[in-house]
Amino acid sequence: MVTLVTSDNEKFNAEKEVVERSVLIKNMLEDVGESDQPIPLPMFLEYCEHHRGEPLPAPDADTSQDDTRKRTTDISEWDQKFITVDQEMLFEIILAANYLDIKSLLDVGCKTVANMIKGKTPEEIRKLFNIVNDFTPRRRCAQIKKENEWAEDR
Amino acid sequence: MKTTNPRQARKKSKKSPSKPKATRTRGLLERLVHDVPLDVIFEIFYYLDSEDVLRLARTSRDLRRILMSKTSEVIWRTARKNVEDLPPRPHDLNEPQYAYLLYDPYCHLCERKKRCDDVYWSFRIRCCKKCALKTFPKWSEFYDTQPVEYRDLGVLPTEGVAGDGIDFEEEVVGNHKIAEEFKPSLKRFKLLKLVVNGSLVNKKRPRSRRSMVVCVPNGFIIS
Repeated sequence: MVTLVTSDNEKFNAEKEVVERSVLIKNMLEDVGESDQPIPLPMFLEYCEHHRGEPLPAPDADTSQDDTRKRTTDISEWDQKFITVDQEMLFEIILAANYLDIKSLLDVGCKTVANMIKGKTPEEIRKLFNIVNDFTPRRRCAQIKKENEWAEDR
Repeated sequence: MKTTNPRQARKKSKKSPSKPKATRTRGLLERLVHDVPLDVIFEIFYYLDSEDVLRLARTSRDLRRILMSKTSEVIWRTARKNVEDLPPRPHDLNEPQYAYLLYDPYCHLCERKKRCDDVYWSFRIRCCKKCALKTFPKWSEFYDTQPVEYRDLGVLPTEGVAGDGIDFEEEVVGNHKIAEEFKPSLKRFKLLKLVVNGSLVNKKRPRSRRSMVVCVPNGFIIS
């Protein structure tokens, strides 16, 4: 058993096997060794509990697939429910998944944001993410003409 | 009683200017862009297709700056590969240019906000018929301006602009700019061995020699 402590001092007990889905925690446990010392961290237990027993991704397994395979944004039903949160929470989840190095959770977060962007017009994207249109109207034409060039080539 | 503690006083004065301003709160996307390592943002963008990336690059100057940086080329490339059966990118267009040609749905010459599906691929442009006829010379006029050695090869790019109205006769047009870009490669091409119907005539030549694979429309002979 491992004791996890959140930043607001709530304690959770979890099995080692479950929390090792986070590479960060796995490494921490290896560094600390078997001990009763609590490990501080934010929320993610529910996710790891649900995915317990699933194989962990091999280190660096994803690096070679970038260019070849078409990426799908399909998310499993459970993950979909798990990630149906407000944007603030989604941000926290992505931040935590990245920090704790939980590849599968980070993927779910990234896919969710990508799905929010997909198929939307610039105006719809701005509205959804509260982005201010800072292009001046005259710039728009110039901007499209310049779309032809990489920033570095101008 | 007045506070005389300098520490408290300083604390107070320090606090007042940083009072929450009436600025808008940053949305999710901007927070991700600013507060999360760039590779996470890239992970998100890798799921998009070309059309999404093109639209995203038009939402704000900030996002545009990121996406139009050459380090982001991989985002555009991945996005293009996320679209099934898309023809490969022509070597004379960069990634955003190709995405623009493919997905910006309006006439690229008059920018009318009306959907335009006429893409003149060999001219690398999407434009309405009106603009095409106004911009590109009729083939007969274009033909006369071309040097003799290029005229009858049948390889200078042309496009047909479908007529509308009562007679649907197609107007064939040329393009000076594209023709000029085309000529140097045509010169190099002519230096290659005689090619008939896409196969090298001199078949005895070992393949290991620096030979180029050339494709010529059936029936054209270039000597």
